[in-house]
Amino acid sequence: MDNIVTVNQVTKTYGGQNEKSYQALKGISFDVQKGEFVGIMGASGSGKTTLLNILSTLDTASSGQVTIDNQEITQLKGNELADFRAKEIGFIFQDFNLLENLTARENIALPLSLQNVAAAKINAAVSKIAQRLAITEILDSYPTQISGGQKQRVAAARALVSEPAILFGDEPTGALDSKSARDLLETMDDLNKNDQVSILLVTHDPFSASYCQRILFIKDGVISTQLQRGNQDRPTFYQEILTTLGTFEQ
Amino acid sequence: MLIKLALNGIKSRWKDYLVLFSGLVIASAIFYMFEALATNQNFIKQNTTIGAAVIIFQLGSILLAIITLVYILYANSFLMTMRQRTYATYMMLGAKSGKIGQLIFMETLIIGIVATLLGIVVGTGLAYGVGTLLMQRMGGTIHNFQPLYPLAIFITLAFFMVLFLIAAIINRRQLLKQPILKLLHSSNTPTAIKHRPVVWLIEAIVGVLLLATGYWAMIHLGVLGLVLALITIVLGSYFVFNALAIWVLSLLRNAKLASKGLNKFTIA
Ligand SMILES: Nc1ncnc2c1ncn2[C@@H]1O[C@H](COP(=O)(O)OP(=O)(O)OP(=O)(O)O)[C@@H](O)[C@H]1O
Ligand SMILES: [Mg+2]
Repeated sequence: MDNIVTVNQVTKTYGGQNEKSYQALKGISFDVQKGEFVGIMGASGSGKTTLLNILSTLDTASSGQVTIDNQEITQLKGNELADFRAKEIGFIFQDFNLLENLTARENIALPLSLQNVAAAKINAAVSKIAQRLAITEILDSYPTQISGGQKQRVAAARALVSEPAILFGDEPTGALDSKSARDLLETMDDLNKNDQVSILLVTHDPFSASYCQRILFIKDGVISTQLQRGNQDRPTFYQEILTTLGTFEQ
Repeated sequence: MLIKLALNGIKSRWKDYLVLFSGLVIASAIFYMFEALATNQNFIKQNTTIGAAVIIFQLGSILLAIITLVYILYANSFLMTMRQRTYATYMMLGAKSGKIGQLIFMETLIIGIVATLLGIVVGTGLAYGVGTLLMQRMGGTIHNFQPLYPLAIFITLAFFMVLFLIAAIINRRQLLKQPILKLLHSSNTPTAIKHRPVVWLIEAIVGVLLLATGYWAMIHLGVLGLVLALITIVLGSYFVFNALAIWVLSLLRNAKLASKGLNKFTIA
Protein backbone atom coordinates (compact mmCIF):
# COMPACT_ATOMS: atom_id res chain seq x y z
CA MET A 1 0.00 0.00 0.00
CA ASP A 2 1.06 3.59 -0.68
CA ASN A 3 2.07 5.88 2.12
CA ILE A 4 0.61 9.34 2.01
CA VAL A 5 2.64 10.53 5.00
CA THR A 6 6.01 9.20 6.15
CA VAL A 7 7.60 10.59 9.27
CA ASN A 8 11.18 9.55 9.88
CA GLN A 9 13.14 10.29 13.08
CA VAL A 10 11.69 13.76 13.51
CA THR A 11 12.90 15.81 16.45
CA LYS A 12 11.87 19.24 17.57
CA THR A 13 13.76 21.29 20.10
CA TYR A 14 12.24 24.55 21.33
CA GLY A 15 14.28 27.42 22.68
CA GLY A 16 17.11 29.39 21.12
CA GLN A 17 20.76 29.64 22.05
CA ASN A 18 20.26 31.73 25.14
CA GLU A 19 17.04 30.15 26.35
CA LYS A 20 16.41 26.93 28.14
CA SER A 21 15.90 24.40 25.40
CA TYR A 22 13.21 21.74 25.48
CA GLN A 23 12.97 18.73 23.22
CA ALA A 24 9.28 18.19 22.48
CA LEU A 25 9.77 15.47 19.84
CA LYS A 26 12.56 12.96 20.26
CA GLY A 27 12.93 11.13 17.01
CA ILE A 28 9.35 10.19 16.16
CA SER A 29 8.64 7.86 13.22
CA PHE A 30 5.41 6.53 11.73
CA ASP A 31 3.45 6.57 8.52
CA VAL A 32 -0.09 7.05 7.28
CA GLN A 33 -1.38 5.10 4.32
CA LYS A 34 -3.44 6.50 1.51
CA GLY A 35 -7.08 6.57 2.55
CA GLU A 36 -6.36 5.87 6.19
CA PHE A 37 -8.02 7.62 9.16
CA VAL A 38 -5.37 7.85 11.86
CA GLY A 39 -5.65 9.34 15.33
CA ILE A 40 -2.89 10.69 17.53
CA MET A 41 -3.47 10.66 21.25
CA GLY A 42 -1.32 11.67 24.18
CA ALA A 43 -1.32 13.61 27.42
CA SER A 44 -1.24 17.38 27.43
CA GLY A 45 2.25 18.57 26.55
CA SER A 46 3.24 15.29 24.91
CA GLY A 47 3.96 17.02 21.60
CA LYS A 48 0.80 16.39 19.53
CA THR A 49 0.38 19.94 18.33
CA THR A 50 4.10 20.25 17.74
CA LEU A 51 3.98 17.20 15.51
CA LEU A 52 0.95 18.37 13.58
CA ASN A 53 2.45 21.83 13.05
CA ILE A 54 5.51 20.23 11.51
CA LEU A 55 3.45 17.94 9.29
CA SER A 56 1.34 20.85 8.11
CA THR A 57 4.47 22.94 7.31
CA LEU A 58 3.54 25.64 9.81
CA ASP A 59 6.68 24.84 11.79
CA THR A 60 9.97 23.22 10.93
CA ALA A 61 11.52 20.09 12.42
CA SER A 62 14.91 20.32 14.10
CA SER A 63 15.94 17.12 12.37
CA GLY A 64 14.44 14.18 10.49
CA GLN A 65 12.35 13.85 7.35
CA VAL A 66 8.67 14.20 6.55
CA THR A 67 7.35 13.03 3.21
CA ILE A 68 3.83 13.89 2.13
CA ASP A 69 2.50 12.62 -1.18
CA ASN A 70 6.05 11.75 -2.26
CA GLN A 71 7.43 15.20 -1.50
CA GLU A 72 10.06 15.80 1.15
CA ILE A 73 8.49 18.80 2.91
CA THR A 74 11.22 19.81 5.33
CA GLN A 75 13.17 21.29 2.42
CA LEU A 76 10.33 23.26 0.85
CA LYS A 77 10.67 27.04 0.72
CA GLY A 78 8.99 30.13 -0.65
CA ASN A 79 6.53 29.65 -3.50
CA GLU A 80 6.98 25.89 -3.55
CA LEU A 81 5.92 25.80 0.07
CA ALA A 82 2.92 28.03 -0.66
CA ASP A 83 1.83 25.80 -3.54
CA PHE A 84 2.27 22.74 -1.40
CA ARG A 85 0.07 24.20 1.33
CA ALA A 86 -2.56 25.19 -1.18
CA LYS A 87 -2.72 21.89 -3.05
CA GLU A 88 -1.58 19.05 -0.84
CA ILE A 89 -2.82 19.71 2.68
CA GLY A 90 -5.93 20.90 4.43
CA PHE A 91 -6.28 21.66 8.11
CA ILE A 92 -8.94 22.31 10.65
CA PHE A 93 -8.31 23.71 14.10
CA GLN A 94 -10.15 23.84 17.37
CA ASP A 95 -10.92 27.54 16.91
CA PHE A 96 -12.06 27.27 13.24
CA ASN A 97 -9.85 30.11 12.04
CA LEU A 98 -12.48 31.50 9.67
CA LEU A 99 -12.29 35.11 8.52
CA GLU A 100 -15.18 36.90 10.18
CA ASN A 101 -15.75 39.41 7.43
CA LEU A 102 -16.06 36.93 4.63
CA THR A 103 -19.14 34.82 4.00
CA ALA A 104 -18.92 31.06 4.31
CA ARG A 105 -18.73 30.89 0.53
CA GLU A 106 -15.83 33.35 0.37
CA ASN A 107 -14.06 31.59 3.21
CA ILE A 108 -14.29 28.28 1.42
CA ALA A 109 -13.15 29.83 -1.85
CA LEU A 110 -10.12 31.48 -0.27
CA PRO A 111 -7.50 28.78 -0.91
CA LEU A 112 -8.46 28.77 -4.59
CA SER A 113 -8.73 32.54 -5.02
CA LEU A 114 -5.37 33.05 -3.36
CA GLN A 115 -3.97 30.68 -5.96
CA ASN A 116 -5.56 32.68 -8.80
CA VAL A 117 -7.88 29.87 -9.87
CA ALA A 118 -10.52 31.03 -12.38
CA ALA A 119 -13.83 32.14 -10.90
CA ALA A 120 -15.93 29.55 -12.74
CA LYS A 121 -13.75 26.74 -11.44
CA ILE A 122 -13.89 28.15 -7.92
CA ASN A 123 -17.67 28.33 -7.97
CA ALA A 124 -17.98 24.76 -9.14
CA ALA A 125 -15.55 23.48 -6.52
CA VAL A 126 -17.24 25.41 -3.71
CA SER A 127 -20.71 24.19 -4.68
CA LYS A 128 -19.49 20.63 -4.84
CA ILE A 129 -17.83 20.54 -1.44
CA ALA A 130 -20.64 22.53 0.18
CA GLN A 131 -23.14 19.98 -1.05
CA ARG A 132 -20.95 17.18 0.22
CA LEU A 133 -20.78 18.73 3.70
CA ALA A 134 -24.46 19.77 3.71
CA ILE A 135 -23.79 23.49 4.16
CA THR A 136 -25.30 24.80 0.93
CA GLU A 137 -27.96 26.76 2.85
CA ILE A 138 -25.50 28.72 4.92
CA LEU A 139 -23.05 29.60 2.15
CA ASP A 140 -24.01 33.26 2.19
CA SER A 141 -23.96 33.64 5.96
CA TYR A 142 -21.12 35.19 7.88
CA PRO A 143 -19.32 33.14 10.54
CA THR A 144 -20.99 35.10 13.34
CA GLN A 145 -24.39 34.04 12.03
CA ILE A 146 -23.83 30.29 12.19
CA SER A 147 -23.30 27.72 14.95
CA GLY A 148 -20.00 26.25 16.06
CA GLY A 149 -20.75 22.98 14.33
CA GLN A 150 -21.56 24.80 11.10
CA LYS A 151 -18.41 26.89 11.40
CA GLN A 152 -16.32 23.75 11.67
CA ARG A 153 -18.06 22.34 8.60
CA VAL A 154 -17.23 25.51 6.70
CA ALA A 155 -13.64 25.19 7.92
CA ALA A 156 -13.62 21.57 6.76
CA ALA A 157 -15.00 22.62 3.38
CA ARG A 158 -12.25 25.23 3.08
CA ALA A 159 -9.67 22.59 3.97
CA LEU A 160 -11.04 20.16 1.39
CA VAL A 161 -11.96 22.47 -1.49
CA SER A 162 -8.64 22.01 -3.26
CA GLU A 163 -8.85 18.23 -2.82
CA PRO A 164 -5.68 17.90 -0.71
CA ALA A 165 -3.72 14.70 -0.26
CA ILE A 166 -4.44 14.70 3.46
CA LEU A 167 -6.63 16.45 6.01
CA PHE A 168 -5.05 17.40 9.33
CA GLY A 169 -7.17 18.16 12.38
CA ASP A 170 -5.93 19.46 15.71
CA GLU A 171 -8.74 18.87 18.22
CA PRO A 172 -11.37 19.97 15.67
CA THR A 173 -14.17 18.89 17.98
CA GLY A 174 -12.61 20.62 21.00
CA ALA A 175 -14.90 23.65 20.91
CA LEU A 176 -18.07 21.83 19.83
CA ASP A 177 -21.01 20.52 21.84
CA SER A 178 -21.34 16.75 21.85
CA LYS A 179 -23.98 16.60 19.12
CA SER A 180 -22.02 18.83 16.71
CA ALA A 181 -18.85 16.94 17.57
CA ARG A 182 -20.54 13.65 16.72
CA ASP A 183 -21.89 15.09 13.45
CA LEU A 184 -18.46 16.31 12.44
CA LEU A 185 -16.87 12.96 13.25
CA GLU A 186 -19.55 11.10 11.29
CA THR A 187 -18.85 13.41 8.36
CA MET A 188 -15.11 12.81 8.56
CA ASP A 189 -15.75 9.08 8.74
CA ASP A 190 -18.02 9.34 5.69
CA LEU A 191 -15.46 11.38 3.71
CA ASN A 192 -12.81 8.86 4.61
CA LYS A 193 -14.86 5.81 3.67
CA ASN A 194 -16.60 7.08 0.58
CA ASP A 195 -14.27 9.74 -0.84
CA GLN A 196 -11.01 8.12 0.28
CA VAL A 197 -9.91 11.28 2.09
CA SER A 198 -6.83 10.52 4.20
CA ILE A 199 -7.17 12.01 7.67
CA LEU A 200 -4.79 12.57 10.56
CA LEU A 201 -6.63 13.62 13.68
CA VAL A 202 -5.01 14.85 16.89
CA THR A 203 -7.23 14.50 19.92
CA HIS A 204 -7.17 13.73 23.60
CA ASP A 205 -10.81 12.71 23.54
CA PRO A 206 -11.32 8.91 23.44
CA PHE A 207 -14.74 9.29 21.83
CA SER A 208 -13.32 11.25 18.88
CA ALA A 209 -10.46 8.79 18.64
CA SER A 210 -12.85 5.85 18.39
CA TYR A 211 -13.77 6.98 14.86
CA CYS A 212 -10.21 6.33 13.68
CA GLN A 213 -8.95 3.09 12.18
CA ARG A 214 -5.65 3.31 13.95
CA ILE A 215 -4.47 5.28 16.94
CA LEU A 216 -0.90 6.27 17.72
CA PHE A 217 -0.14 7.07 21.35
CA ILE A 218 2.54 9.65 21.78
CA LYS A 219 4.47 9.89 25.03
CA ASP A 220 7.65 11.79 25.85
CA GLY A 221 8.09 12.80 22.24
CA VAL A 222 7.93 9.35 20.64
CA ILE A 223 5.21 6.87 19.66
CA SER A 224 4.88 4.56 22.64
CA THR A 225 2.18 2.23 21.39
CA GLN A 226 -0.58 1.96 18.80
CA LEU A 227 -4.05 0.49 18.53
CA GLN A 228 -5.66 -0.96 15.41
CA ARG A 229 -9.44 -0.92 15.18
CA GLY A 230 -9.63 -3.82 12.75
CA ASN A 231 -13.11 -5.25 12.56
CA GLN A 232 -14.28 -4.04 15.95
CA ASP A 233 -17.35 -1.83 16.08
CA ARG A 234 -16.90 1.67 17.40
CA PRO A 235 -18.20 1.16 20.97
CA THR A 236 -15.89 -1.83 21.46
CA PHE A 237 -12.95 0.13 20.10
CA TYR A 238 -13.89 3.00 22.41
CA GLN A 239 -13.65 0.64 25.39
CA GLU A 240 -10.29 -0.59 24.20
CA ILE A 241 -9.01 2.98 23.94
CA LEU A 242 -10.17 3.68 27.48
CA THR A 243 -8.39 0.58 28.74
CA THR A 244 -5.20 1.49 26.90
CA LEU A 245 -5.33 5.03 28.25
CA GLY A 246 -5.80 3.59 31.73
CA THR A 247 -2.69 1.43 31.60
CA PHE A 248 -0.87 4.14 29.68
CA GLU A 249 -1.30 6.76 32.33
CA GLN A 250 0.49 4.73 35.03
CA MET B 1 -10.81 39.32 -5.62
CA LEU B 2 -7.56 40.90 -4.45
CA ILE B 3 -9.21 44.31 -4.15
CA LYS B 4 -12.12 42.69 -2.41
CA LEU B 5 -9.86 41.05 0.16
CA ALA B 6 -7.98 44.30 0.72
CA LEU B 7 -11.19 46.27 1.19
CA ASN B 8 -12.52 43.55 3.43
CA GLY B 9 -9.44 43.75 5.57
CA ILE B 10 -10.06 47.42 6.09
CA LYS B 11 -13.76 46.92 6.71
CA SER B 12 -13.17 44.21 9.26
CA ARG B 13 -11.02 46.44 11.40
CA TRP B 14 -12.87 49.64 10.61
CA LYS B 15 -13.49 50.76 14.17
CA ASP B 16 -9.85 50.30 15.12
CA TYR B 17 -8.65 51.87 11.92
CA LEU B 18 -10.79 54.92 12.58
CA VAL B 19 -8.70 56.31 15.43
CA LEU B 20 -5.47 55.87 13.51
CA PHE B 21 -7.14 57.03 10.35
CA SER B 22 -8.24 60.28 11.94
CA GLY B 23 -4.62 60.91 12.93
CA LEU B 24 -3.60 60.42 9.32
CA VAL B 25 -6.33 62.73 8.05
CA ILE B 26 -5.26 65.42 10.48
CA ALA B 27 -1.60 65.09 9.63
CA SER B 28 -2.35 65.49 5.95
CA ALA B 29 -4.83 68.30 6.64
CA ILE B 30 -2.26 70.35 8.54
CA PHE B 31 0.36 69.53 5.97
CA TYR B 32 -1.94 70.75 3.23
CA MET B 33 -2.81 73.87 5.16
CA PHE B 34 0.84 74.79 5.51
CA GLU B 35 1.51 74.02 1.89
CA ALA B 36 -1.50 76.00 0.71
CA LEU B 37 -0.36 79.01 2.69
CA ALA B 38 3.29 78.68 1.74
CA THR B 39 2.88 78.03 -1.98
CA ASN B 40 0.13 80.53 -2.72
CA GLN B 41 2.14 82.95 -4.87
CA ASN B 42 -0.59 85.60 -5.20
CA PHE B 43 -1.11 85.61 -1.54
CA ILE B 44 2.59 85.91 -0.74
CA LYS B 45 3.48 88.55 -3.36
CA GLN B 46 0.70 90.89 -2.47
CA ASN B 47 1.33 90.66 1.21
CA THR B 48 4.96 91.34 1.90
CA THR B 49 4.21 91.69 5.57
CA ILE B 50 3.24 88.06 5.58
CA GLY B 51 6.71 87.02 4.41
CA ALA B 52 7.81 85.91 7.85
CA ALA B 53 4.73 83.80 8.29
CA VAL B 54 5.35 82.14 4.92
CA ILE B 55 8.76 80.98 6.06
CA ILE B 56 7.10 79.48 9.08
CA PHE B 57 4.61 77.66 6.92
CA GLN B 58 7.21 76.28 4.58
CA LEU B 59 9.55 75.18 7.35
CA GLY B 60 6.51 74.05 9.27
CA SER B 61 5.47 71.68 6.55
CA ILE B 62 8.96 70.18 6.51
CA LEU B 63 8.85 69.62 10.23
CA LEU B 64 5.36 68.28 9.92
CA ALA B 65 6.59 65.90 7.28
CA ILE B 66 9.03 64.45 9.77
CA ILE B 67 6.38 64.14 12.46
CA THR B 68 4.01 62.57 9.96
CA LEU B 69 6.60 60.03 8.95
CA VAL B 70 7.05 59.00 12.58
CA TYR B 71 3.30 58.90 13.11
CA ILE B 72 2.65 56.81 10.02
CA LEU B 73 5.29 54.31 11.00
CA TYR B 74 3.77 54.09 14.46
CA ALA B 75 0.18 53.85 13.21
CA ASN B 76 1.37 51.37 10.72
CA SER B 77 2.84 48.96 13.21
CA PHE B 78 -0.53 48.84 14.96
CA LEU B 79 -2.44 48.35 11.75
CA MET B 80 -0.17 45.44 11.02
CA THR B 81 -0.64 43.88 14.43
CA MET B 82 -4.37 43.88 13.82
CA ARG B 83 -3.95 42.23 10.48
CA GLN B 84 -1.27 39.66 11.28
CA ARG B 85 -3.66 36.81 11.93
CA THR B 86 -5.54 37.32 8.73
CA TYR B 87 -2.38 37.41 6.67
CA ALA B 88 -1.15 34.31 8.48
CA THR B 89 -4.39 32.56 7.56
CA TYR B 90 -3.85 33.50 3.93
CA MET B 91 -0.35 32.07 4.10
CA MET B 92 -1.57 28.92 5.77
CA LEU B 93 -4.04 28.48 2.92
CA GLY B 94 -1.27 28.77 0.38
CA ALA B 95 -0.89 32.46 -0.47
CA LYS B 96 2.54 33.19 -1.92
CA SER B 97 4.61 35.98 -0.42
CA GLY B 98 4.07 37.99 -3.60
CA LYS B 99 0.32 37.82 -3.10
CA ILE B 100 0.66 38.84 0.54
CA GLY B 101 2.82 41.75 -0.58
CA GLN B 102 0.19 42.87 -3.10
CA LEU B 103 -2.52 42.72 -0.45
CA ILE B 104 -0.47 44.76 2.00
CA PHE B 105 0.32 47.37 -0.63
CA MET B 106 -3.27 47.65 -1.64
CA GLU B 107 -4.57 47.96 1.90
CA THR B 108 -1.98 50.49 2.94
CA LEU B 109 -2.40 52.56 -0.21
CA ILE B 110 -6.20 52.57 -0.09
CA ILE B 111 -6.07 53.82 3.49
CA GLY B 112 -3.40 56.31 2.46
CA ILE B 113 -5.24 57.76 -0.52
CA VAL B 114 -8.55 58.07 1.29
CA ALA B 115 -6.89 59.67 4.33
CA THR B 116 -4.94 62.11 2.20
CA LEU B 117 -7.93 63.15 0.09
CA LEU B 118 -10.03 63.68 3.21
CA GLY B 119 -7.10 65.53 4.73
CA ILE B 120 -6.96 67.88 1.76
CA VAL B 121 -10.66 68.65 2.14
CA VAL B 122 -10.26 69.35 5.85
CA GLY B 123 -7.00 71.19 5.14
CA THR B 124 -8.73 73.47 2.66
CA GLY B 125 -11.09 74.53 5.41
CA LEU B 126 -8.21 75.07 7.79
CA ALA B 127 -6.24 77.01 5.21
CA TYR B 128 -9.21 79.24 4.50
CA GLY B 129 -9.70 79.93 8.21
CA VAL B 130 -6.06 80.57 8.99
CA GLY B 131 -5.52 82.56 5.78
CA THR B 132 -8.46 84.82 6.53
CA LEU B 133 -7.25 85.32 10.05
CA LEU B 134 -3.77 86.22 8.88
CA MET B 135 -5.13 88.71 6.37
CA GLN B 136 -7.17 90.44 9.00
CA ARG B 137 -4.31 90.57 11.47
CA MET B 138 -1.78 91.80 8.96
CA GLY B 139 -3.99 94.04 6.93
CA GLY B 140 -4.00 92.33 3.52
CA THR B 141 -6.83 91.89 1.08
CA ILE B 142 -8.70 88.67 1.18
CA HIS B 143 -9.71 88.07 -2.45
CA ASN B 144 -6.25 86.89 -3.60
CA PHE B 145 -6.14 83.84 -1.43
CA GLN B 146 -7.24 80.48 -2.82
CA PRO B 147 -7.47 77.84 -0.13
CA LEU B 148 -7.84 75.13 -2.79
CA TYR B 149 -4.50 75.46 -4.50
CA PRO B 150 -3.43 72.89 -7.15
CA LEU B 151 0.28 72.97 -6.40
CA ALA B 152 -0.38 72.40 -2.70
CA ILE B 153 -2.74 69.54 -3.52
CA PHE B 154 -0.12 67.97 -5.73
CA ILE B 155 2.67 68.30 -3.17
CA THR B 156 0.47 66.88 -0.41
CA LEU B 157 -0.69 63.94 -2.49
CA ALA B 158 2.79 63.13 -3.75
CA PHE B 159 4.36 63.43 -0.34
CA PHE B 160 1.80 61.20 1.39
CA MET B 161 1.85 58.60 -1.35
CA VAL B 162 5.59 58.28 -0.90
CA LEU B 163 5.12 57.95 2.85
CA PHE B 164 2.50 55.23 2.49
CA LEU B 165 4.61 53.42 -0.04
CA ILE B 166 7.46 53.34 2.46
CA ALA B 167 5.02 52.15 5.10
CA ALA B 168 3.80 49.36 2.83
CA ILE B 169 7.34 48.21 2.13
CA ILE B 170 8.11 48.11 5.84
CA ASN B 171 4.86 46.27 6.52
CA ARG B 172 5.61 43.64 3.98
CA ARG B 173 9.13 43.06 5.24
CA GLN B 174 8.10 42.80 8.85
CA LEU B 175 5.24 40.44 8.19
CA LEU B 176 7.14 38.04 5.99
CA LYS B 177 10.06 37.98 8.44
CA GLN B 178 8.00 36.43 11.21
CA PRO B 179 7.26 32.74 11.61
CA ILE B 180 3.76 31.88 10.47
CA LEU B 181 2.86 30.12 13.73
CA LYS B 182 3.60 33.24 15.72
CA LEU B 183 1.42 35.31 13.40
CA LEU B 184 -1.36 32.77 13.52
CA HIS B 185 -1.53 32.93 17.29
CA SER B 186 -1.10 36.68 17.60
CA SER B 187 -3.84 38.68 19.20
CA ASN B 188 -6.09 40.73 16.97
CA THR B 189 -6.23 43.87 19.08
CA PRO B 190 -3.08 45.66 20.07
CA THR B 191 -3.51 47.08 23.57
CA ALA B 192 -1.98 50.43 22.73
CA ILE B 193 -4.92 51.32 20.50
CA LYS B 194 -7.27 51.51 23.42
CA HIS B 195 -6.25 55.08 24.18
CA ARG B 196 -7.37 56.34 27.56
CA PRO B 197 -9.24 59.64 27.90
CA VAL B 198 -6.50 60.96 30.23
CA VAL B 199 -4.04 60.65 27.37
CA TRP B 200 -6.23 62.76 25.08
CA LEU B 201 -6.72 65.36 27.76
CA ILE B 202 -2.99 65.66 28.35
CA GLU B 203 -2.44 65.75 24.61
CA ALA B 204 -4.97 68.56 24.21
CA ILE B 205 -3.55 70.61 27.09
CA VAL B 206 0.03 70.20 25.94
CA GLY B 207 -1.09 71.11 22.43
CA VAL B 208 -2.77 74.34 23.55
CA LEU B 209 0.25 75.28 25.67
CA LEU B 210 2.56 74.68 22.71
CA LEU B 211 0.38 76.77 20.41
CA ALA B 212 0.23 79.61 22.94
CA THR B 213 4.01 79.51 23.38
CA GLY B 214 4.46 79.55 19.63
CA TYR B 215 2.30 82.60 18.97
CA TRP B 216 3.74 84.41 21.96
CA ALA B 217 7.29 83.73 20.76
CA MET B 218 6.46 84.86 17.24
CA ILE B 219 5.24 88.24 18.47
CA HIS B 220 7.82 88.90 21.19
CA LEU B 221 11.07 87.13 20.36
CA GLY B 222 12.12 88.09 16.82
CA VAL B 223 14.16 85.63 14.75
CA LEU B 224 14.74 83.19 17.58
CA GLY B 225 11.02 83.35 18.23
CA LEU B 226 10.33 82.27 14.66
CA VAL B 227 12.31 79.08 15.09
CA LEU B 228 10.66 78.34 18.41
CA ALA B 229 7.25 79.17 16.98
CA LEU B 230 7.88 76.85 14.09
CA ILE B 231 8.43 73.86 16.33
CA THR B 232 5.75 74.57 18.88
CA ILE B 233 3.04 75.55 16.43
CA VAL B 234 3.45 72.43 14.34
CA LEU B 235 3.52 70.12 17.33
CA GLY B 236 0.74 72.05 19.04
CA SER B 237 -1.58 71.97 16.02
CA TYR B 238 -1.04 68.28 15.66
CA PHE B 239 -1.72 67.49 19.33
CA VAL B 240 -4.82 69.63 19.54
CA PHE B 241 -6.40 68.38 16.35
CA ASN B 242 -5.57 64.78 17.08
CA ALA B 243 -6.94 64.92 20.61
CA LEU B 244 -10.10 66.56 19.33
CA ALA B 245 -10.58 63.98 16.61
CA ILE B 246 -10.08 61.04 18.93
CA TRP B 247 -12.41 62.56 21.46
CA VAL B 248 -15.17 63.01 18.89
CA LEU B 249 -14.64 59.49 17.60
CA SER B 250 -14.85 57.97 21.06
CA LEU B 251 -18.06 59.92 21.68
CA LEU B 252 -19.53 58.48 18.48
CA ARG B 253 -18.37 55.03 19.39
CA ASN B 254 -19.80 55.18 22.90
CA ALA B 255 -23.08 56.45 21.55
CA LYS B 256 -23.22 53.47 19.23
CA LEU B 257 -22.31 51.05 22.01
CA ALA B 258 -24.94 52.53 24.29
CA SER B 259 -27.70 52.15 21.71
CA LYS B 260 -26.61 48.57 21.06
CA GLY B 261 -26.71 47.82 24.79
CA LEU B 262 -30.16 49.30 24.94
CA ASN B 263 -31.30 47.12 22.06
CA LYS B 264 -30.07 43.99 23.77
CA PHE B 265 -31.78 45.10 26.93
CA THR B 266 -35.15 45.74 25.32
CA ILE B 267 -35.01 42.51 23.36
CA ALA B 268 -34.28 40.56 26.53
N1 LIG C 1 6.72 27.68 21.04
C1 LIG C 1 7.15 26.90 22.06
N2 LIG C 1 8.25 27.23 22.76
C2 LIG C 1 8.70 26.45 23.76
N3 LIG C 1 8.11 25.30 24.15
C3 LIG C 1 7.01 24.91 23.50
C4 LIG C 1 6.46 25.69 22.43
N4 LIG C 1 5.35 25.07 21.95
C5 LIG C 1 5.22 23.97 22.70
N5 LIG C 1 6.20 23.86 23.63
C6 LIG C 1 6.38 22.76 24.60
O1 LIG C 1 6.46 21.55 23.89
C7 LIG C 1 5.72 20.54 24.55
C8 LIG C 1 4.70 19.93 23.62
O2 LIG C 1 3.71 20.91 23.33
P1 LIG C 1 2.45 20.62 22.40
O3 LIG C 1 1.71 21.88 22.22
O4 LIG C 1 2.93 19.94 21.17
O5 LIG C 1 1.63 19.61 23.30
P2 LIG C 1 0.22 18.93 23.02
O6 LIG C 1 0.45 17.48 23.04
O7 LIG C 1 -0.40 19.49 21.81
O8 LIG C 1 -0.59 19.35 24.29
P3 LIG C 1 -2.16 19.69 24.45
O9 LIG C 1 -2.88 18.41 24.56
O10 LIG C 1 -2.20 20.46 25.74
O11 LIG C 1 -2.57 20.51 23.28
C9 LIG C 1 5.13 21.18 25.79
O12 LIG C 1 5.94 20.87 26.90
C10 LIG C 1 5.19 22.64 25.50
O13 LIG C 1 5.37 23.37 26.69
MG1 LIG D 1 -2.17 20.71 21.41
